[in-house]
Amino acid sequence: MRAFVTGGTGFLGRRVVRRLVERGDEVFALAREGSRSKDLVAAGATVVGGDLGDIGPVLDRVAECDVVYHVGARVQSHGQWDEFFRVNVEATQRLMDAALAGKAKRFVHVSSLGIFEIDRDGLNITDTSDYDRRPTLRGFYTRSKIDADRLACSAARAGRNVVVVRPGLLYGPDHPQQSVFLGRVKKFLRPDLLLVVSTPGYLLPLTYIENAADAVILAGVTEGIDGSIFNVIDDPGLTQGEYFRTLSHVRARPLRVMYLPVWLLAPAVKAVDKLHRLVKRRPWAPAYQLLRSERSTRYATDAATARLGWKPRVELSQALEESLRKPA
Amino acid sequence: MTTNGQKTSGMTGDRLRVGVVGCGTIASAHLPYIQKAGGELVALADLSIRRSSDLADRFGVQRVYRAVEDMLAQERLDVIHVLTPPQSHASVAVAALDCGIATLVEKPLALDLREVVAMAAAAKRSGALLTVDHNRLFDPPMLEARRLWESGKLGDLVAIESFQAGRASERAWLGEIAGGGLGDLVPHPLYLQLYFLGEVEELHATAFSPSGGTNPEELRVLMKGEGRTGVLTISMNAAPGMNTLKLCGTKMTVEVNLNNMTVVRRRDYEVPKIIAKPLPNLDEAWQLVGQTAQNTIDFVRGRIRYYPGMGELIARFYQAVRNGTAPPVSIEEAASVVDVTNRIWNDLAGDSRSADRPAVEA
Repeated sequence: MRAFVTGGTGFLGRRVVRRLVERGDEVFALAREGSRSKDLVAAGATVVGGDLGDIGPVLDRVAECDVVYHVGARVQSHGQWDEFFRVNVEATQRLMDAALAGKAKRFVHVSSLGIFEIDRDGLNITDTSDYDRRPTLRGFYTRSKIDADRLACSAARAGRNVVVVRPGLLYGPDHPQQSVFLGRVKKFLRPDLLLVVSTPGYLLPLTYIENAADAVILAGVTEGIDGSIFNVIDDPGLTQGEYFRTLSHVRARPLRVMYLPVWLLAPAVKAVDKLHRLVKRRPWAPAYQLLRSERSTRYATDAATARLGWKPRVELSQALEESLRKPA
Repeated sequence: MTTNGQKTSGMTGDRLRVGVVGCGTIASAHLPYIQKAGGELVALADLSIRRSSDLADRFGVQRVYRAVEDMLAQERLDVIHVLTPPQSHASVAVAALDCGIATLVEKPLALDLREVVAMAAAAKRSGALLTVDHNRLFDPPMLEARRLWESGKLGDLVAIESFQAGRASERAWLGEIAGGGLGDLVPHPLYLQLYFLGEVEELHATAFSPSGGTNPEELRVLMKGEGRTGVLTISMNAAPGMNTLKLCGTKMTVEVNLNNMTVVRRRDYEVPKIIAKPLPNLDEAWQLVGQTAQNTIDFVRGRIRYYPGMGELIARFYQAVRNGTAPPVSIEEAASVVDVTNRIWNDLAGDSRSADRPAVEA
């Protein structure tokens, strides 16, 4: 099969490319000119020079492929909204249009779990739960992922050959500081003492990078799942406390974690929020995001298990070991 | 909790399931009123994903479509707002009405009577309600003026005069409708006039462009209706912006200011001559001061917003949909605005006859 992959040099995309090559697929990977595109060639893929911000020139190539894996996105936390919209939303729509008007039997859109409406603690999020109702109060990345997910799901519902995969917080070997120690509100007070703004009981929606790659490939090759949406979380019941205990165990040196519950900060944050509303009649984005992050949510992965045949191949302690292992 | 993936049928509780087609400028005015009127905005459709995504983000809408057909097929809507450029009103409305969806169309309902006939026929076939956003008729001071007329306090209404000054908003599609920017402005004052005039027996229009442009910018229309005359003026060059309607009855004259949301009555006083001159002025000044103060308080407290008449019209339409009663603006009223608009253009072109007018059946 002929596959087209976007984001092929990224954290998840490079693994998707590697797996597809291993499967024997002919892989075309979109990449900007640069050193990392050499890794793609080394992995056995054909590099298609281009950029999600200017997707037009590569659409002919996309139209010739059997499966399109749209893994790439602008993930930076800085930049203008227009740039995020062009790269993460417009490019998604144009790739989808080109693929479906061409030969593609499947368009796999890799989305995110940060897109949901979480207005209270203890929600059970399914594959069809509502999007955040205040995307403008979220960061540009999340807002653009909501927009793109909405478009992909709209095509999926309309019966087009689209499958949406939404992995959780990705972690793995490449960026242990950000991914294993969670790019959440946290700070190392001492080398072995971590301060986390959260509670031990908070449910962590984590997906090990290799498990996420499994799900993406399955979404591309499994028959009879067109129009489906899959939330992909390794262990929906994993708490933050358990996670750090396992991490401490796996690590050579034990790790102590101090929790600063959000509710301790909440009164001050809410007061500023209230002031904002009084003056501008609009909630304060940081307050919205902080209070949202306090609400523990369970993500149902039944669909991924039942219809995709996916289950996390690598379990937590092994995944953490792999992630922390120093590269040879 | 509603879901973004399931096709839910019918009304959820009392809330009507609402879809919006066309996410341009006017959609931002409609959206806040949908929720307020007891609707649940479930989906948006627009050819441009930038427009639909932007609106969906601002209002937390769960689903967007590029093709209206996809939206109609995927969503079980109770109500649809058609806010596309005028030239596509008819095709979108007919498709929605054929699905049995109550349809509210932005003004003008259509560009010609044939389109109106097709829309009316679709509404009749499916039994779904059809109305048009003649929102100015429902602005609070207009409702007050209507009450004064309908209760007989004006006496016999004999003369109507409306004056609108200001330029048309920039719209990409203005070049595609008759009269361009002026064509976009005509429906509002015209439906206000026609509400009181009834059937227009005679019409004379004159227009020109001071800058010598292709489309006129200054327009005056003289109409003879059922027992009264009307003068409609639109000036795209006069400043400052103005939007007034004067209703002259045999007992009272009422002047509605739709920019400032006031309605001032001028009455006859049976008083000594010495104060007969100043008294009406003082009375009018007092009315203006009182209403301005009240409007300011209401605006600050969030009781009135922009396009208040639109909110009222949407609320009445949803009520009509729930109760199966008549919509706030009838198809005949809407048809008559479309017809007289075209008679104005024909008259300007030298032919003031009613365009070979097909009968509109409601």
